[in-house]
Parts: sequence; structure tokens; C-alpha cells
Amino acid sequence: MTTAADFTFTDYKPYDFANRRHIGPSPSEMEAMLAVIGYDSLDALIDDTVPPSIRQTEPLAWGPAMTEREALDKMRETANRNKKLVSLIGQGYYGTITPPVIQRNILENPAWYTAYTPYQPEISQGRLEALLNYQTMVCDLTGLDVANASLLDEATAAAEAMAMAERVAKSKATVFFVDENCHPQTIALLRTRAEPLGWTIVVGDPFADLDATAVFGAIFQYPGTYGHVRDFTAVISSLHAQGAVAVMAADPLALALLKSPGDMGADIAVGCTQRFGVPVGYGGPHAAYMAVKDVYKRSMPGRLVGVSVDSRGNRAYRLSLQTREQHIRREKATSNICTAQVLLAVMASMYAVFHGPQGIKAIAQSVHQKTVRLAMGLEKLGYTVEPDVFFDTITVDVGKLQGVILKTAVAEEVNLRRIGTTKIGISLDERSRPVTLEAVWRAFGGDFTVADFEPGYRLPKSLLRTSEYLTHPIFHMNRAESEMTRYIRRLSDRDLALDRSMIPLGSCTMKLNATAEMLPITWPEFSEIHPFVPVDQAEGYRHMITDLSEKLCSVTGYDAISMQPNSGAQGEYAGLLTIRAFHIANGDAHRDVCLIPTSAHGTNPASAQMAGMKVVVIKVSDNGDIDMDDFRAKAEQYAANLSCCMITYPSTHGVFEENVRDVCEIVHRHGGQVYMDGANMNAMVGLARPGDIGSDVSHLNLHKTFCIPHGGGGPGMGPIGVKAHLAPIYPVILKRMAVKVPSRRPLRFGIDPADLLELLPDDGRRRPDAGDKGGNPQCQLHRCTAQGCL
Amino acid sequence: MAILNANYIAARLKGAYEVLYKSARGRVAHECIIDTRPLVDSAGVTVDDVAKRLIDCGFHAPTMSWPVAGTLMIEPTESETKAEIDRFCDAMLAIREEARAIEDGRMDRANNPLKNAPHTVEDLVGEWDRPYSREQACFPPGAFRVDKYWSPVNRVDNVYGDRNLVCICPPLEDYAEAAE
Repeated sequence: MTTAADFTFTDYKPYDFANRRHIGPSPSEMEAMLAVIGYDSLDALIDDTVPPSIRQTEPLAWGPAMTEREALDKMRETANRNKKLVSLIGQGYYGTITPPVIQRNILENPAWYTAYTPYQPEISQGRLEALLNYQTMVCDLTGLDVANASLLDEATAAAEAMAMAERVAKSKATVFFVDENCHPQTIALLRTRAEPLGWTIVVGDPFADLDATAVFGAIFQYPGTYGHVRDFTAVISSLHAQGAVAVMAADPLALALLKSPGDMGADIAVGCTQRFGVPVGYGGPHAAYMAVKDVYKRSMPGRLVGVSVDSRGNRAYRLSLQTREQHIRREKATSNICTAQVLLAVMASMYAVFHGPQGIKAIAQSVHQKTVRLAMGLEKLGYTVEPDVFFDTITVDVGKLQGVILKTAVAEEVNLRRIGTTKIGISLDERSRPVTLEAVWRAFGGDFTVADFEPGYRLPKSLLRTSEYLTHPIFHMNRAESEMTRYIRRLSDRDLALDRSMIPLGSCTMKLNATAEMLPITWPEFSEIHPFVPVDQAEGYRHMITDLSEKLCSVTGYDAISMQPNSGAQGEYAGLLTIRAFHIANGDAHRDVCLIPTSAHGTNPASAQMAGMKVVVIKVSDNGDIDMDDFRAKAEQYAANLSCCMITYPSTHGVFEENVRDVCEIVHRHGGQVYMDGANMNAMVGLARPGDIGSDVSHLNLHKTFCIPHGGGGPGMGPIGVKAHLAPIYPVILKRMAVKVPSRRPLRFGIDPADLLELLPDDGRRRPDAGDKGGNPQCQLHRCTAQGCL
Repeated sequence: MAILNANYIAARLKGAYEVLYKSARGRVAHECIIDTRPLVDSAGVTVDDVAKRLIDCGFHAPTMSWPVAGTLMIEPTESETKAEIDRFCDAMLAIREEARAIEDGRMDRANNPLKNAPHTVEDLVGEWDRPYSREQACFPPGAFRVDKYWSPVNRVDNVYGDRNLVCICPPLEDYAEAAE
């Protein structure tokens, strides 16, 4: 028998994720590295690196770190607080089946989700091909010539289309017409984007209220948010006659059966490819698309994959026309789109490759037939179903019964859409089953089975699709799963992602996306929650977002955080709108000058321009710091109209500038606000807080510092933090800006678990306990950043 | 830790490349910008050449030409081990030596491993008439022997693509032509 004396005690912790598994250098490696730099401790290095004037005095007090297993248990509890019902709410978000071969080999595969944006084409040929497939799919379905890959969501895509229409239209009008049948979140976002640029939004019926002579463009939803399928050909012709531009927001699945926007004459089509195999995920992330006529391709925002040749003359893909992008055009840029939901675009394109045109058509037909059956049952019950022709969405006027029917439906585990006070909307999808239809009938008081109704069609004959789509051989490969598996593998093998080597991209923070952080993304309790479910069904999400907000407040020194923006660039835009609203609320609407150093990220001036600000460029001195003399002079010169400055900290030159407090002080003295770009937050977590340094607003790139994977160019997330004086203003702004959640919700967020779970928001990431110099900010940095501050 | 890793890279590359911006105390934050512009005059080597040669070494290039044209901005993050960072530094130092060979006239200014990077299997199986070996082309310091990352294409011509804009999948017969 052995005794304790036979063993040497080891204090090695095999599950120490905070200090070992999620950090590169081991303790002995750290020592060796410090010796090369010339320091004997990490503390001494940090003391020499981070100016004492900005150091935070108190460590982050989050208690001991959890192990991954504990954190996952906690996530499981959080997941269980969401109620997973069948949602037939529609409004731009539909049930879909993610083919397991795509879920496992793309969404859950680090070769795809840890890649960077394909700026280096030679090592990105795989995802560039997948994105070229995406563009081909979008061009085919929309009947237009050129499509980008990709945009953030349908509402922002519509806003980009509006801005593009204004640029290319011959009409000099300042009004943009919006079909009243657009999704409400699209209308809300268009209003937000138009206002700072001085454009007027007119919402109405395109067939009655549209005065083509008075607008630079118009957008129509196809099918409409309440189900209408209408022919816009004549309306579009009338717009063209007046030099105005026609935009259609189209559902790609409906386009499998319906006449394309291109065939109706539309100049631009936008939409969301969510229902091509990407889970709704409480509102995102999903890839939106934009397709345009050939003449407009050089005016199109976003990334465009093109075909070129390599030095041997062989075919090679790469991003085209990059000079259009904001990192080149800066304050002359007209869009700030950067992060672009690439991972989700890849999934959607693979869904099209997986199904091919026959499969997509069959799914669309089946969805339509189910909807016709559902309508027949409701009509048999005496209800009037609108419209008389539709694709997958119907609206029923139920009068006073609205409340009771919705409630009964929930009891049947089905969510329907509440429209006004008397109507109910229902959108079916490829997941809808016979039992789903029967449950809906019961909620309306009917006891039918699907066999009681013959299958039928109620599509308008004049709008049936005649043109072909997905004709390229890539959409016609053998349907055996082995082929699909190998195709996905072949593409990912062409690429270099974090699963093969470090990606030392400055400013991009390509850090570990821990596997445990990725696991909950595909848990159905997170992935299958529709963004417009009653709040009591999303308790887990609410809890998680509240918890994460509190933690991000403690990291940044801000007083409130909004989780809405879908990317860093969107965060910048939201932050600047908040500053703008602050000045307007103070009677200072004239304050519109934004000071930006030449070293700023290209999105900064682009966002400022979109927020209606005038950009004044500040010089940078030879050592890379802001030129303080120039800064003082410009701040003084524009004092009367100074809105804000945008600075990055540590600077984009990779240095902690000593004078950052002076910069903040000067701006405040002249009545301006300080926007601190959070792109470099990874250098500061646990060491310094923007809110303490003097900044008023920041965005945080959760896909940089906080471990959301880059996904080959998205998803991303750019929550903004604000100081208390801006807090009363920013929710008002964001109510209009946020696209995904109706206004009755206290917090407005449209985010996927992918955007949050990676953060293990709920206590998952606490400080390690004693033995690690607890309480010392240096340790905080290494633990905190190691953990993505979770 | 991110700060440690960045300062370690700056320290290891010292002497070979100049780190452009440092604080008054000589430290960088979580990333550093190294200057490759002197190589243009001394060896005709551009920042693009360095980036593409890193592919041969099995690396994704750092951020190029931003925020300063002609430079590389390196951010290792805290996730990388010393071994991986050393592999990267070894690759960067070897690239500097390759540029030095050009400076010293030991290597041709136009036909060299930097200008021809990245090297592909197509290069290897074709006629080899270069003033450097296949070994040097394909296995520079940093590259793994067994697990070597092979670039699927040679250097991509951006200008050609913008002049001849094709943004949908090309027809299959084009693939056949390309293979010929």
C-alpha cells in the first residue's frame, strides 16, 4: 500500500485556462522573453510601457476565474432560461435547416472561423472561391449583374443602397421613398441614416403615394413584410424616367419562384441570406447582400471578389476595386462598411452549393404550398386571409381575438406576429411541419389535419419566374455528402487561418478563439430564438447581455453599454450619432466639426462623414504621436463648431501616448466630446480605462479584444460605451438605429450567440485566484486578455 | 501579455529592422511597426515582397502599409507561444538576410526568392533556372518541412483583375484553359 510519502505533490493545474491554456507563453518562456527585452519582471515592463498618468488604480474585481467546464455549465444554465418555441413571426427572420455538413465543417471549423479578411489573396483562395460562389448565387437570384460579399444585415444594406442611389441618381431631389411594406426595422434604420445627411424619408404605398419627380430613389420590399407579392415594373419605369434609382429588398428564397428584381428593371437589390442555412440566432449575425446593374458596380459599397491571374497566368481570385474602400478614400468615402459577415456568407453560399437550383426551388415550393394549406384552413374557419397572392407570409385580421389567439398559439408552442391591434402575421419556412400547421389552426379555433387540404399555389401568374438561376457547374455537383465534405475541406486547405499559424496583423488582434467559447453558438436554445419573440422567452439572452454589459462597463470605465452595433464601424457611427444628439439636445446643432488625426483608422473619417460631420485632419508628428501644436490650433480655430475628436488609444502607431489626457482636456475645454476608438483595447484591459482617461464614447471590437472569431471578415460586433451624461441620449438614438428588436424591448440588441457566447459573459471569465499576484494590474492584463475578458 | 509579446518581437528584430514608433521609454504597446522602406532603395525589395515571402515561411503577413506606407505593423496578441513568435522572428530575420544578399550583389535584383514569392508546386515541377535553390525557395526558416503550407497560386495580379472585372464564377471551359 502506498502512502502520501510515496508521492511528490504537484501544484500543476491541468484546467487552468485563465493563466495557461488561453495564453501563449508559459511561465518559463515569459522569463526568457523578458530577459531578451531587458526586464526582470512583467510588472517592470508594464510600468515602463503604460504611462502612470493613465493607469487604473483598482484591479478588476470579478472574483476567481472559472474553469472552462464551470463556464460551460453556467452557459448551459443560461441557455435553459431561453424558451425555444417555433417562431412563425417572419419580418426578415425565418426558420432554416443548417445542413449538418455545413454546420460541422464551416461554422464549427476553425479553418473557416479563425481566418482573416482575404486581403492577402494568395493565402485566401478557398474563402475567396466560396465568396465568389456567393456573388454568383446573388446575381443569379436577383437577375442583376454584380453582387458584393457581403453586408451586415438587410436594414443596413437598404441604407447603403439609399446612399448609393443618392450618389448615382441623375435626379437632384433629396427625398427617398420607402415602401410601407418594408420591414419596420428597415424603415426605422433608413430614417436614422437619412437624417444626418439631410435627406427626407417618405413612407407610403408605391402605387398611390410615389411621386417619381420628387425623389432620388425608392425602395420596395418583395415580398412585402405582410406578404404581398407585387409587380414593381411600371413603378420602376416611372422612376427611371425621372432619373431616380430603384431599389428592391428581396427575399432570396422567394426569388426561386418569382420574377427577379433585375427582370423588373431594378437598379439595386438588397436582402438577407439568413434563410439559406444560417440560424436566426436572436437576430444575427447573417450576411446581407447587395446586387447592382453593371453600370453601377464602381459605386457599390462593400467587398467585391473578382477573378484575376497569378504570375504564371493561372486563375486566381482576389478582392477587386479596393480603391473604393474607406481605408483608401477616408473622409471622401461614402460607406464605412468593413466587417462583413463573411463566415455567414460562406455558409449561405454553401447552402446553395449543397442544394443546387433543384433543391432551392423544391424548398421554396414546399414553403409556399404549406402556406397555401395554412391559408385554406384559416379561410375554412371564416377568417379573411390577406393578401390573395403570397409566397410564405399571410396576414389575418382577427379583430378583438388577437390577444387570445396569440396566447393560445404560445400555449401550442408557436409564436405568431402581432401586427397592430387586430392583425396577426404568419410566415412559414422550411422547418414548418404538419404539426406546426395543426397547432396554428388550433390557436385559431380549428381542428384540422394537413390531409384535409389539397396542395395548391397562390402565386401571381404574371410574376412566376422564367429565368434560370444557379446554372454554374459548382451548383450542380454530385449530391453525395462525401463530395460536399471534400469540397469544403479542399477550399479550407488553400487558406492560412489561425489553426495553422499566428496571424500577426497589426490592429486586428487575431487572438485565440477558444473552442469552449464557440461551443454554445450552435446550442438550439441560443441559435433558434427569433429576434422578435416575447421578452419572457429570451430570459437567458437578457441575463447574458446585462451581465456582459456590466463587465464591459467595469473594463472601460463607462457608465452604460449598448450591444447593438454589428461591427466596429457601426459602433463608431452609433457613437458619433450619440455625440451629435448630445449637441442638438444642448441647443448646439451647429457643432459639426470632427477632428481626426491622419493616423486614424479609415473607418473613422468615413463614419464621421456618414454622421453628417465635417472632418478636420490633425497632423501627426515624426514620432507618430498627435501633433499637439496642430491639435491645439485646430481645436481653437474650430472651437465654436467643435463637435468631437476621434482618437485611437494606444495610438494606431502602437504607442501609449503620454499626452492623451491633454488631448481630452483640450477638446472638452472647447465644448467638444472625445470619441476613443476601442480597436486597440487589447493593450489596455486591466491596465487603463478609456472612461478614466477622459473619453466620452468608445466602441469595443468584440471580434478583436474579446475573442469573437474574425470568420474570414465577420461576424463582428462593436458595442459602444458612453459616460453618464450621454446615457440618457444614446438609447433614443439607438432605438432608431438598432434594427433588430422592436421598440418595446428595454434593451435593443440583435445579436447572435456567436456575438456573445464567445464572451462567456456570465461570470465565465473571472480573475484567477491567489498565487498569481492577484490584484496587480499586470496580472489582470494577462488573465483578462487571455480570457478575452470574459 | 500582449505587451510582452509585442516588445519581445521588437527586441528580436532589433538590428535587422527599425521599429518606427516607440514611447519615450523605448517601449511599444501591443503592436509595433517595422520599417521595410530602406530595403526598396538598397535591394529593390518592397513591403509586398516581404509579405509574399512570409507565405513561403507559412505565415500570414502583418498589416501592410498602414498606418504608414511601406511598413509592416505586427500584433502578436497574448495567444502566441514563444516558439511560434520565434518561428516568425526567424522568418523575418532570414528575409532580411535575403535582402542583404541582394544588397551585396550576391543575388539578382529581379530574379530572387523575394520577388518570386510565393513559390508554388507549379514552380518546382517546372523548369528551374533560378539563381537560388529549390530548397531555399520552399523551405526558408520558419517553414515546416512535413507540414509545409503551399500557396495554391503564385503572386496575384491585382491590376489585371481590376481592368478585366469578373465577379461571378467563370465558366468551366475557362478552368480547362487555365490548366493548359
